[in-house]
Amino acid sequence: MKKVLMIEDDQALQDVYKLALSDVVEYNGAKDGKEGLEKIRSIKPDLIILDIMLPGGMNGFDILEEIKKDPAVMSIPVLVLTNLDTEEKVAREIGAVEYLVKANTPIEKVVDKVSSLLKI
Amino acid sequence: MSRFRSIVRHPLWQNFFVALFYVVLAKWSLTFATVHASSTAIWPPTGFSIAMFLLLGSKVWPAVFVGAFLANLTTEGSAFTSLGIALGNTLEGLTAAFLVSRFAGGVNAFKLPSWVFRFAVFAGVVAPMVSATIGVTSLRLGGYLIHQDPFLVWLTWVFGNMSGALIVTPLILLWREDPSLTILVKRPLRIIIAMAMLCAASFLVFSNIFPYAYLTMPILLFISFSFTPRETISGILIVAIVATYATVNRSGPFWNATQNMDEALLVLQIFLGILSMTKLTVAASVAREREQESLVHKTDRWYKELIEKSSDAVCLIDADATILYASPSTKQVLGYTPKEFEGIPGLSLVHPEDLPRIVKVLTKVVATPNEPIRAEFRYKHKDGRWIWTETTGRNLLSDPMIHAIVVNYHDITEAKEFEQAKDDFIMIAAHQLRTPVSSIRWNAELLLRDKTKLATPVKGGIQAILDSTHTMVRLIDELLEMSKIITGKIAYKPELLDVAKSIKNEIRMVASIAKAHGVRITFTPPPALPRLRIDDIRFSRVIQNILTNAIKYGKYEGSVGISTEVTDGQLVITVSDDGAGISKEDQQRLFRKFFRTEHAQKLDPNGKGLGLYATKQYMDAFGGQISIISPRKDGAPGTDVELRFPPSLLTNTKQSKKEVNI
Repeated sequence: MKKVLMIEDDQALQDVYKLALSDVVEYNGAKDGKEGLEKIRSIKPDLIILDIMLPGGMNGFDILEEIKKDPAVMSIPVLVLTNLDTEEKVAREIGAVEYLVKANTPIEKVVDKVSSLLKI
Repeated sequence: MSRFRSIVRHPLWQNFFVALFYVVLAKWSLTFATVHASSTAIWPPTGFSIAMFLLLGSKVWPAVFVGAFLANLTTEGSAFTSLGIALGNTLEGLTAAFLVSRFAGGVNAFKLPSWVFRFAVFAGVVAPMVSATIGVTSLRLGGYLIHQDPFLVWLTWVFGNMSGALIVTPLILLWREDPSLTILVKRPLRIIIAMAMLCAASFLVFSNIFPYAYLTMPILLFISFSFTPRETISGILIVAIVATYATVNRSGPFWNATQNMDEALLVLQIFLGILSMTKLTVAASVAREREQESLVHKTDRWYKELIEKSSDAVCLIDADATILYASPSTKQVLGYTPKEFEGIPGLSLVHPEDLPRIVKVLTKVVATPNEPIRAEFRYKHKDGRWIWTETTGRNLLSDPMIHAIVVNYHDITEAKEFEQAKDDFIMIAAHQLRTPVSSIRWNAELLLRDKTKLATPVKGGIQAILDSTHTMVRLIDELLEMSKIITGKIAYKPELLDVAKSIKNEIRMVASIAKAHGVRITFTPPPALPRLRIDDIRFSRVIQNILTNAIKYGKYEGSVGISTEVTDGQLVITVSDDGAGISKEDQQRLFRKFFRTEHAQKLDPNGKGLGLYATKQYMDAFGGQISIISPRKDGAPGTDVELRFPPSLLTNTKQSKKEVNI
C-alpha cells in the first residue's frame, strides 16, 4: 500500500483526510514542519500533502525547499493544499506538482489528484 | 439722565436747540457785517446747519428756517427780506446735505480724500450760491442794496458761507464722531507742541511780526500727517480765530494787502476755505492709509498665526521640489526646524517605494497650475522614522505673489497603521476561516459519498450543510477580493492584450447570468483594434463588472451592446443597456464605496456596492476614465458606461498609420 504524509496543523482536517484516504493509502499525519521533515525522512512517503501556513517557525515553503535540497527525498511529489489563493506560482516554482485551495476544492477532487499522482 | 436724553432727542426739542444755537451763531456773525448788515464775510451758521441736516436729517428744517428768520428780522430789514434770507439759508443746508449724503459719504465725508473734495464743492460752493442768490434777490426786492454793488454782496455772501461750511461742518462732525481726549494721554507732548507752535505761528503772522500767512501751512501739514482729521480741523479753527480777530482789528497780511475791511475779510475767507479743504484732504488720505496699513498688518498677523499654530505644515517648493519656505509646524510633523528644512531637495526624503509615484504626482502638479492635487506618501522624520503624510500640492508658480508650489501636509501615520491593521485582520481572518469551512465541507462531502447508507432526511440535512458551506466559501472569497481591492494588494502586471478577444472572453464569462436575465449581448468589434498594454486581471474585472451591471440592472429580456472605437488616440469602450437609466443624482454617487441605487437594491439585495468603486479604482490606476451617460448618447433611455483608455496604453496596432509622403 502506498504511503501518504499529510503535514497539516488542523486536527479536524487530518481526521477527514484520514477517513477519505485510508481505503486506498496508508495515511500518516504531521502537525508542523519539524515533525513533518522527520517523518518524511523516516517514512519515505510516496506523496506529501502540504499546508503552507504552519506553526513552529517553519512554513510550507521552507519545508518544500528542505525536501528539494535532500537527494533522499527530493523526488517525492508534493501536493500543496492551502488557504492561500495567491501563492500558486511561487509554490510551483519551488517544486510543488499540484496546488489546491482548501475551501474551494471538493474532497473528491483532492482524492482524485492523490490517486492520479500515485497512479492507483 | 435717560429721561433728559429722551427729552433732548424729541424732534421738538431738537428743533428748539438747533434754532436757538443758530440764532446765537448768526447774531455773533452779523457783528462782522460790513458790506451790508445782512451780508457778512463770516458765516459759521452755514456749517452748523449743514452739520445738523447731516446728523439729524432734513426734519430740522423748521429750526434752521426759524433761526435764520429771527436772526435777520432782529438785525435789519423787513419780515419779507428776512423770510427770503431764511428760505435761502434753509435751502442751502438742505442742498448741501442732500448732495453730500448722496455723493460724498454723508457724515463720513472726511474719511476719503475724494469725498473731502466733493464736500468742498457741494457744501462750500454750490450750496452757498443758492443761499446768496436767494438772499441777495430778497434784499434787492425788499428795496435794500440800493447803494452797494449787488455782485460784491453776493460774492461776500458766497465766500462767507463757504468758509463756514468748510470749517464748522467738519469741526462738528469730526468731534461728534470721536469726542474722546485720549490723544492728550497717548501723545501729550506731540499734540501740545504742535498746537502751541500753530498758535505761535498764527500770532507771528497776524500780529504783523512776520506777516506771511503761508507760515501756518507747514505746521498744519505736520498736524495732518501726525494726527487725525479731527486735530487738523481743530488747528484750522485756531488759525481762523486768530486770523479773523486780527483782520477785524486791522492787522495781519490780509488787512495789510487790501487796507479795506470788505476785501480783507473776503480774501481771508478764501484763504481759510482753501486751507481747510487741502489740509483735510491730506488728513483723510493719511488716516485712510494708516487704517489700511493696520488692516494689512492685522491680516498678516492673523495669517501668520494661523499658519504657525496649525497642525498642518505648509511649505513652498519650486518645480524640482526644493524647499523654499517651511512653516514652523514642520517641527511637529517631521522634526525639522524650518531653517534646517529650507533648501533641502524635497524628493530626497520621500520613501523609495513611494518615490516613482510622487515624481508622477509632482509632474502633474507642475503641469496643472492652480489645481490642488492630493497624495499620500511616506516622508522621513528627522529621527529616521517614516511618517505617512496626507499632502496637497498646488501650483502657484505663475502667481506673482507666491511664485512657488504650495504644499500642505499632515501626519496620518496613526490612521494608516490602524487601516493597515484592519486590512491585515480582514485578510488573516478570511484565510483562517477557510480551514474550519473546509473541514465542514469535506466532512459533509464524505458523509454524502455513500448515499445509500443514509436515511433521506439525514441526506437532506447534510446537503443543506454543504449548500451553506458553499455560500460561506463564496462570501469568504468576496471578502478577500474586497480587501485586496481596497488595499491595492493585487500586483499590477501589464501585458499585451487583444482587446476584442478579451471582451469576447468576458462575454462568455457572463453568459450564464445573461441567460438567466434573458439578455442578449451584441459585440461587433471593428476590423482593426489597437492592443492594450494593461494588467489582464484588472482589465477583465473592469469589463466583467460593467457587463454584469448592465445585465443585472438593465432591462429584463433586453439587450446589452458593446462598442469599441479609437478617438483622439484613446481607446473608448462603451457598454450600453436599454434599462431604466440612472438618475443624475445617483450618477454622482455611483463610484462611492458601498453606494447602491434603490433600483439595484431591489433587484439584488445581496450586492455590496463595491463593483463600480473597484472599477473606478482600476480605471484610475490605468490612467483612464469611466463615465456614466444616462440617458444614452444616442438619446435612447438606458445607460452608457464609457471607458476611456489613454493613448499611452495603446501599442502599435494593426491599425494602419497615416504616413506622410515627402
